[in-house]
Amino acid sequence: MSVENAPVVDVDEAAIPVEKKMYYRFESNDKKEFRVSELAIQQSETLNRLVEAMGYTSEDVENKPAIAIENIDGKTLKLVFQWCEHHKGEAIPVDDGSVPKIVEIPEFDAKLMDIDNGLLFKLIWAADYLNIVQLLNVSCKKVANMAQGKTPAQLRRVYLLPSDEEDEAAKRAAQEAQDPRAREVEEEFEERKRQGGNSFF
Amino acid sequence: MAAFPLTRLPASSVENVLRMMSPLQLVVFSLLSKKCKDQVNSLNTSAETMRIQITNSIVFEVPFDEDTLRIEFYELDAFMVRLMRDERNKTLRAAAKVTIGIYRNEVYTEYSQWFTNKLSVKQWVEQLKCVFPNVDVDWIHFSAGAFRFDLDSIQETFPKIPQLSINHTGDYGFNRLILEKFLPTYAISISRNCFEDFRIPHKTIFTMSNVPNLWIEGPRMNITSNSTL
Repeated sequence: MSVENAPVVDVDEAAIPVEKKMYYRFESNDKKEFRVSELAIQQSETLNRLVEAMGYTSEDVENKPAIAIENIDGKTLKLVFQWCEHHKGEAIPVDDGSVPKIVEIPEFDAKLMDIDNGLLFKLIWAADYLNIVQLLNVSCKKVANMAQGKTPAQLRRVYLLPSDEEDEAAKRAAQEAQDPRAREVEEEFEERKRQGGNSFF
Repeated sequence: MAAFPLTRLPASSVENVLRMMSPLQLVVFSLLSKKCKDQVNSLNTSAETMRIQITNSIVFEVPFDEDTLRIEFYELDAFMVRLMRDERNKTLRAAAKVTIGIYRNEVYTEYSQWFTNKLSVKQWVEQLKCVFPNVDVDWIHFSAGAFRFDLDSIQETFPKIPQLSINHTGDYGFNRLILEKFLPTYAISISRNCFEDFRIPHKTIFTMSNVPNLWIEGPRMNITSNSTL
């Protein structure tokens, strides 16, 4: 049937049931509570799965305790949910694995991330934990931008990157912490080598 | 700027950060430690060709879509060019000063420079092959001022040169030596001004005839320096 021939139906808009928006309640590890729309939650794969699994009704949301997010503090969670509300309904980007990965930081996100590096660090951990792909993209882009025009010495300071010697020392310390006997065996081996022994056993 | 503890982020986020860096930033990051170099290498960043320009400095150019990564060593300003005009046989050991930039339409969009470089030019080639695992030197272009460099050192640094381009370096003997050292190649583009009076010796023509792709640029006539002014 062509569009022209389709029957015209009068619609009584008032009769269409308006879906009530559902707001979930979340609580940070420092007991701050947030109300977040169902659509905003969809930006977080982790939270979206969680609320789907819980199958809450509107009454449950109001009557049951807020959903606890144990490892994120209120200040960080506020930023996360502000971001999710602003970007609710937007498509979640699919990573095609390209390098360089092209990401633009929108004005809203730039303002939201006008924060100190400590909070930015927590925001990235939160976005990673809650699996919010685009928030991770823009926050990582902000960190990548810190490298712009830097010399190696400046970049080492900006990212607190250890030298080869520091990496080696950290690796040795980690090994020793894991197995103190390994160090003793290594020292014994070195001692025998110094004494001219070819075989340890 | 306050520090950001990059290595304390989740590994996937560190990778995400690196993937968003420009080629220049990846190169600089790779210089910081073996671990950084391995992290950058694992990204397998795509770049295929690297051009080498040898004038009175040495420049690496790695083209990307719209941008070109440019790294320059042994750079001289106009005063130093005059002062060093008699310099010869300069080997490609570590040049303290390195200038690295990204340029688009002949304008730098990102730029960095430092005076603490410890890598020789050969080590820089290896470093870039680590950052861009598929990259290979495809052209070496010699032109004005190149005679200050030692050709054996250049040959050791770039043992395989598929394509060679030569403009007058300022020293006819040096021009001739380039051909002796580097031929045969897959392709050569040479300007007649590399030869005295623009005349290519028969022996040189014979040697170049083995090159599959040969372009000879410039006027065929014998032009005196007065008539070109």
